[in-house]
Amino acid sequence: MLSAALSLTKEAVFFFSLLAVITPVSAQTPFLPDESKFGRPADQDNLSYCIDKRDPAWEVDARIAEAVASALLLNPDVYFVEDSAIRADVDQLYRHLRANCRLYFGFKLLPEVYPDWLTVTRAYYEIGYVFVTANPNWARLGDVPRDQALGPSLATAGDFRLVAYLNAQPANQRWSRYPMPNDAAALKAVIEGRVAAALVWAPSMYELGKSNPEIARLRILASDPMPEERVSVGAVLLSGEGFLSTSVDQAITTLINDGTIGEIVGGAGFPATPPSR
Amino acid sequence: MKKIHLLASSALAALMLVAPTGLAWAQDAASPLDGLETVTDDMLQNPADGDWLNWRRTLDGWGYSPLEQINKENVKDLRVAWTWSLTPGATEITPIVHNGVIFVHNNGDKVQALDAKTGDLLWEYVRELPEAVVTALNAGNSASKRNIAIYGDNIIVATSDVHLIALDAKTGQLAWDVAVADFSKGWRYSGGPTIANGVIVQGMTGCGNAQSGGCFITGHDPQTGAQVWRVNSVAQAGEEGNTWNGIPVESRFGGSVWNSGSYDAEQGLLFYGVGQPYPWIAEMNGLLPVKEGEQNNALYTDSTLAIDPKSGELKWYHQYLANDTWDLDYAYERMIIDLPFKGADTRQLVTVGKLGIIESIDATTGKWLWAKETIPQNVVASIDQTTGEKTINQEAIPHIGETTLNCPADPGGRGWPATAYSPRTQMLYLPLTEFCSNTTPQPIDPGQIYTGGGRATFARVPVENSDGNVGVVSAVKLTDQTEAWSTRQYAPITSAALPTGGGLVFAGDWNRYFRAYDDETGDVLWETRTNNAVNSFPVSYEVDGKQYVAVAVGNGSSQARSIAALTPDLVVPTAGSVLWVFALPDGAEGEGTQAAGNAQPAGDATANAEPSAPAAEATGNGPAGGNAPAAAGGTR
Repeated sequence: MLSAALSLTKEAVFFFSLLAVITPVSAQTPFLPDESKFGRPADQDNLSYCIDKRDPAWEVDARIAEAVASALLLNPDVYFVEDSAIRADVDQLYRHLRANCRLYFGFKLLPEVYPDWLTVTRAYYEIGYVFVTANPNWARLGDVPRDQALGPSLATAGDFRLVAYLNAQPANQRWSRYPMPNDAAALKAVIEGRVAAALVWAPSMYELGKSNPEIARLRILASDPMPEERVSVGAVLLSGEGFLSTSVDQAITTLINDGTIGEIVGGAGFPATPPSR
Repeated sequence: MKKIHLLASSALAALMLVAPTGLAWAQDAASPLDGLETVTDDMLQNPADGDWLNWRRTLDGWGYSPLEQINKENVKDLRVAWTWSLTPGATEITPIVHNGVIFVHNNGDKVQALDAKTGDLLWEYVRELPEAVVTALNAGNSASKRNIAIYGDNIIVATSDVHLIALDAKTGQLAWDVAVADFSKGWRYSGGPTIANGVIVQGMTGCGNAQSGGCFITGHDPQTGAQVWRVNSVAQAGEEGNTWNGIPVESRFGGSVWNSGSYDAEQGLLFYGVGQPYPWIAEMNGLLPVKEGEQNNALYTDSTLAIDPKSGELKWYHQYLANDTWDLDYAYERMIIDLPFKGADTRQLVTVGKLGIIESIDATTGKWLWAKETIPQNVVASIDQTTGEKTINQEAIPHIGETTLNCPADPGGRGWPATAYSPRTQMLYLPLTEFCSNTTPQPIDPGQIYTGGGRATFARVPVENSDGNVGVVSAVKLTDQTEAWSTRQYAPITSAALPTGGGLVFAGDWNRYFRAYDDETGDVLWETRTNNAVNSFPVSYEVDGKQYVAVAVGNGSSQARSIAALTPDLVVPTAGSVLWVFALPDGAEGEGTQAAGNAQPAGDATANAEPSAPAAEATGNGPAGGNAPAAAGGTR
């Protein structure tokens, strides 16, 4: 260790962990130079929400959002996000939630990924990541020879599960992992034979397959020997919106219990299910 | 105040109908624009003392002004000469100054030419950015540019919609406009151009998980903007391609080139720094676990690239940190300095990465020479004193499912605010930050489009046994790598350092203070409180025999705001980005001009240095406290 380098004990790490609770960077709201333009929303009889057309599940989310508004006896006031950027930093949500809407639908309810200034609703459906292949002889991930490469859309929650699984295997029993920039690139790599199987968000497979017959012809593999990864999906809103959050949660519960959400996702042929809990 | 009128009302009306706009103002008196000389390569390589023509004033990257009118004795009298309000938002800018005209980039790509003596507006160019660009940039700091460039008769700007443009330096009119990459795919510019041997050179950033194959540097024709070469900052197939743990090029990400470079005219070599792989966590980007028979140092990340600016040929590279999994870029200024090394004069290339370790390599070969630590860190366990190869503390490597502690935290023990070298003292002056991060890798896909910026939760915490001080300014003698002085304070230091021939080092902090330090002792000789965070690159220039010091302040830089998480009680305004310009009162310019100090001469700039005058007490008699620049007690 260099002369000025730290010698950190476990106690010190614990101490730092405590300090982190005191000064998390995520406690800062994102910086908006024009923040003063956005006052308190006056929704009156409307439920203001954003639907992002870049999200492969946006049509299903839009129908669920309408149902939530109806359950709350509010008029749906939808703002369609038409941005062309293929990626956006989570901080940009702050601007949308100040400027355009109070709820933003279509977010994975993953633990500890959201900054303190955001909160999430309860889930309105569950769906997962899927392994996809062009090889007709494979039915499960375990059928893919270990000397082949997998192409996960990189660093997703599903990819995290794959990394954890690979790390637990002996080195000679690991598939090569080629991280792909996004679901479309991962599916293309399967079609072109550069990877044996892709790991993608199931709604992407569903949406991209509508317009691309080659993707539609790909086959979903059972995930074993890995456990199936199911992810809950809901909406996000600013942390200060406590009453709205509670109201929306109650509406979602009602819509799950009366079968409305099951009907929406089932009717769309969308591979999702209402939350199991 | 001089009367200002528009050149012609009809001309204005016509100009307002076109976009982007370049509006010109004229004055009754002769405009400094009339005396604007064409900028040549010779001028860029040997700028006049009173000009600031390159990002770090000189192409060797020093960030040093030889002006000595403002010195240790009279700096106590420094006053506001004028101020100029800038577009709100981050102001990570370096003004360019030439022949009495100061050119400044505003957040959101407004470029203005001001009379450097009076602050009068001469012209401005306002770029009309696509709405998607504005929306994205308003949530970050990518609408600020750390530098612009001047060459020939044009101001060269790397824009927020990822174009390179040239503006007529006398009128602000658009001379050419070239799209270099697609903003919607994630490409970004945050640094500005370097002019090297007649070529405009620009680094690309924003190379996250959507840009297969990583980032790049491009060379452009100054007459048209046309791209003439491209150097990839991530090794492609066939070129050092076996250093990415066996993953194909389409699965390699990162290598952002987000600051400008340096140029050694004697060698004809351009030097650029490169950032880390992406996403930062190695288990995410595929660099861990390392496969049998593979290397995972991920060239050319965290490296210096030595490039022929005419051909774009990569001559050599030196990697400082292999497989960087912490976001500890080595993407900052490269300083070309002739220094003794083991008894021989050696042309050295000195840089400091986020680790805060000063490192020197041979500027002619890339061979590693020496390193000097400055702040507490726990990532590097040891450095091979022959090769510079680093042994990594395995306990600091983040893993999925774990929280690990790394020091410094990801914004860096030094961030983009630049270090600077003074030939007067042969010292390197460093704005530094002491802090650590509890790092927990997180998936990037909370929303299918929205991703976490850092691919991990970074809980920034103080260093072990911290005295509570986060901000540090240090001076290190480069001839023997000893620390000459170091000052500590609670508020993070958020500006670049500016050493001058007057024996001063200027730097500013998050708490709105802008200070002049004694370059030999670190004593604070002058300070003033501005209206916002001092978070840019201060410069010094001269007009009509009078020396000025200019610095932009403003909130919005993600780097500064990240550090400020440790000092939440220091509140700075959201609005109020301003360019502050300081000078001595009229008639006081002659005081103490020979009192710069007793540093040993190291070149022409110090040949007349005299013994040091007693250090004055900090007077605080600048424009204290007030938020409004207009109430700041200027002398004009």
